[in-house]
Amino acid sequence: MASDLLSAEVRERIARLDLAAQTLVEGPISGLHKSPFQGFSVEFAQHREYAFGDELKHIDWKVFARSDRYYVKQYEEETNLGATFVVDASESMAYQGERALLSKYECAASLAVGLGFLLQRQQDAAGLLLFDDQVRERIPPSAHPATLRQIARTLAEAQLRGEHGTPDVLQRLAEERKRRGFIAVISDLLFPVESFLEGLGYLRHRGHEVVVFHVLDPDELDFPFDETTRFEGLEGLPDLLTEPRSLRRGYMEKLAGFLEQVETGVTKTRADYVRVETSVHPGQTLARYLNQRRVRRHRK
Amino acid sequence: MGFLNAPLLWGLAAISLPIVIHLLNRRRFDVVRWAAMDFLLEAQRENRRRVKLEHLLVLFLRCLALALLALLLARPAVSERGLGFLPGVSEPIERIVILDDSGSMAYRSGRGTSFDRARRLTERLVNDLTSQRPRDYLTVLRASEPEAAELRLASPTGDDAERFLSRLKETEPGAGTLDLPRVLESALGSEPSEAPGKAVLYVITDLRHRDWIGETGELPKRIAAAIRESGRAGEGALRVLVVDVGGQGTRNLGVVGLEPVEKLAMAGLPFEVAVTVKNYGSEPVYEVPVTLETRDGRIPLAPLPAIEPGGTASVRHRTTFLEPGAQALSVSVGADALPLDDSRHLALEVSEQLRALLIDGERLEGPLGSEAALLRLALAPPGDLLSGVEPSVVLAEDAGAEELADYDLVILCNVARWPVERQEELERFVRRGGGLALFLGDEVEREAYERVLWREGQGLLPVRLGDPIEAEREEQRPSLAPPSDDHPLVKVFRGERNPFLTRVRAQRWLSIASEGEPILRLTDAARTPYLVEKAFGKGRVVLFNTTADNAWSNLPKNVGWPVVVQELARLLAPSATRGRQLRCGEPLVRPFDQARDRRRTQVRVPGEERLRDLYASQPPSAAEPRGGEAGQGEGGGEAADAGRLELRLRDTSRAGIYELRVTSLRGDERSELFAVNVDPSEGDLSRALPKQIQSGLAGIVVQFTTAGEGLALLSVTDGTRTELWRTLLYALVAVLLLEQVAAWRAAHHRPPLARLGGAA
Repeated sequence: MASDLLSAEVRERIARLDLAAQTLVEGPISGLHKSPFQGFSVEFAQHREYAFGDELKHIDWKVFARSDRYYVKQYEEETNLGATFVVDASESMAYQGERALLSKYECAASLAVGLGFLLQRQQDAAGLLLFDDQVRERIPPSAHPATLRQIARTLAEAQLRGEHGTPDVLQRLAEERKRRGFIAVISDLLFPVESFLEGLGYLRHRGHEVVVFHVLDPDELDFPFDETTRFEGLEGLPDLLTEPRSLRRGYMEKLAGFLEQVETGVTKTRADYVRVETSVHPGQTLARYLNQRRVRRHRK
Repeated sequence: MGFLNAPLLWGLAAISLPIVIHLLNRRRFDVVRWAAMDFLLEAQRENRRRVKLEHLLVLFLRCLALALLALLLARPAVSERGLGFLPGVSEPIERIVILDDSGSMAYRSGRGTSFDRARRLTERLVNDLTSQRPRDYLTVLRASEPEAAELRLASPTGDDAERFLSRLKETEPGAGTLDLPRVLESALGSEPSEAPGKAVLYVITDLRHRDWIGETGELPKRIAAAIRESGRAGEGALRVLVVDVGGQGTRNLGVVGLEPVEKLAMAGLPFEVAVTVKNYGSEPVYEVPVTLETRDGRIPLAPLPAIEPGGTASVRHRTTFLEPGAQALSVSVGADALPLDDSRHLALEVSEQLRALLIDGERLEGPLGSEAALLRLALAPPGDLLSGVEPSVVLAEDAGAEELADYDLVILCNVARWPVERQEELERFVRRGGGLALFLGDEVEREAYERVLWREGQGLLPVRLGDPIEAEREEQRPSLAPPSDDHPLVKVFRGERNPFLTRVRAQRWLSIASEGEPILRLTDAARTPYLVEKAFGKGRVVLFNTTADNAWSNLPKNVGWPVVVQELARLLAPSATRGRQLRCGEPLVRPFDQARDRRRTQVRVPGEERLRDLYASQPPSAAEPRGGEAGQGEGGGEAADAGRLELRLRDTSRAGIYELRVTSLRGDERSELFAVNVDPSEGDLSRALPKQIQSGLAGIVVQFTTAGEGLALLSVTDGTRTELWRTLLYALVAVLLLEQVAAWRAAHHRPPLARLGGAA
């Protein structure tokens, strides 16, 4: 097995992610409705040629009888089901303050794996797109249990690095995914958000359902530093030695502006915006999100 | 402006502390790998100037706070009205305090006596100097004893000041008077070893008229002279502040006199004293009780019916001492605000008999032939009646064996000459209060008298003896002119046409030119003095221009003669109170005979339980300015007997009866009493006006002030020194508050901002 080749550290991280996903589902989410994503599969959409890995039960035997070829029936629900987790693996995601339970990246990974686990339970496909300033890993959505494991492994193995740049991953994703799907962007969004919002607009335009999990450390939200500190810039930004108290007000103003820009930008595209604090257990975050989503859907 | 704790100004160095801490803080820092760097960099870019300014402001305020703290601890002070001659506060100044401790300072009014107020002011001055000007020199003098060292204080700091203050607490006003010119001479005469150039003189006094103006008004001039002669009155070098601590109101009665009516006190004979009480107040007083105290107890005298303001009233009292020896009397009126002058004392020696030595210059036969025989009969008439006189007659050639000191009076009758070697002894005898009578006669050698007894007017003879004049015929013989004054010797001859006068006929006499008015004159053309007297020291000399027998006149045959002789004995006899009365502060001095008495004598001082030991000693050298009046009369002859000893008690500051217990070499003890009284005018509380004093000071500028609640002498002379610590404290608090605000503004303290955001 390939798992034998994995390093102990990665194995431990995978185990933690699995555990996180399980506790997440058995914990806060277990009380929810069985399938939060129910409602996608209503009508038949198209046939597709059988590919290795497709389940035999989906083969359309009538077509086989007429054309002697293996086709797989695809329903509307299946076309929508292509859930993709767009996870930010840039260096800034590594930050973990004293009050945080996890680093931002761990939190993002937990959210991705947790969501994946839920989707897998209802036989839905989940894929992964890992990016920093460019696309680093890509796993096409699949409902196969192995895919989730692969997603978990990829997330666990990822090295956080990368220059501070503008990722155009969303645009590219929009071009690749012609069919509508579910896209969860999990990032701290600490990059120029304009192009990001633009990409988000694209995705929405293509009919994708998008949720943005904005992951932030509590330290980043209230900047609690008192002592003279040297802040080392990540992703190519310069260092700064300063009295943090003197800059706090300015920082908070900038931060507030940024958060507002992001939130309004995201909601303008009619995507969901969820702010995630790493001091809160990801399961709780997820449960709250799913709950809100269900309520909203119910209202519709 | 000056600093009371100048060394603490080094604390100003602490203002570098915030800077150092700031720099150190910049070297110690935490490292954080920070993701949201964009915001931070942007915030820093936008706020750099403001942050820098705020930082500098906070730093400045912190430095300022420390500087203020250092200044506060150094206690800066500013002088509102500094001494004109003080360029800087740090230059040491000599300060001299003269504490008037005369009797009137015991006057009680308001809270405590005048002296209490003076003492408080002095204590305050010492304390103020200790805390504010510890480098100054301070000398505090008691006016009664300016030379005494016990109240001197070289520098107002440390244990010295403590000891000084405790000594000052025990100091009480004496009973003496204030002799300001002398005190000033003493105070300004000696300078401290490291004398600073400037001096301030504080005179704390009750400003009595008699101490500052004097009866003749000459005192201010003498005060000015004393200051000027000290050589310190130069331009701004000496500043004089007179502080009036005298109480208001002048209700005071004083016993101003307790005098014997007659000077002799004989055992068994009545002795009369006159008590005089003066009302120094401004209201009349009525029914003043007077009490007399003797060895036998207290007797109330007849109360004095009324005394007008400024007036006196007298009462006489007659008492009889049965035993000879030392006796004492005290009278007192009821206690008032000034207890000092409420009593008065009298010490006297009651004698058994007057001892008279009659020296006869001519040996003649017959019961009445001797020159002195008639005199002797007249002095001690035969019969039961006691005259109180015990005459002894010796011939001139035998007189060398007689001790003059054993007699009260000496009478020379027709003695040819007085031996030169005994001239000194005779003069001393008279000077100490003995009496001398001289009768002339044919034996008298005029040159010898002139040489030994006249001595160009310096000797004992009242007049120079001239040539003899003889009236041969009966009708040429002059009689006696009526006496003009009330002399006791000639009481019997008083009145015009007095038969005693006209019956006297002078047959032979010496021409005498008298300078003063003689007691009696002849009726001859030159109106020759017939009876002349002269005071000599404490004693008296009477010259008869005739013989003691009938040789030159018929005076001894006159019926009035015994009366004249008896009066002569009383006139010449030493007073019973002689040498026994002293003023407070005047040393008690008594000659001492080491051949007779033991050197160790004991003395009882009024108000003290225990006897003090007193040892006979050499008299202080004649150079000493203050000999004391008891010894003064003997001044001229002192040098001759250098080995002489005396008993001397310096401290007679307390009024009352002093008892001297002298033990003879054989072991018998006898006591001598001395009365020490305050100067009667010490009870005169009338006060001098500063204007009056100033006008008499002739150019010496003196500042006057009145002691009131909270008066601090240091602020009067050095100006009110305002300490700035309170102001600095307020400033410090303000700066600290500002610092808090500035630090808060600079976000040095976390602002209460609500946390932004939160999970959606």
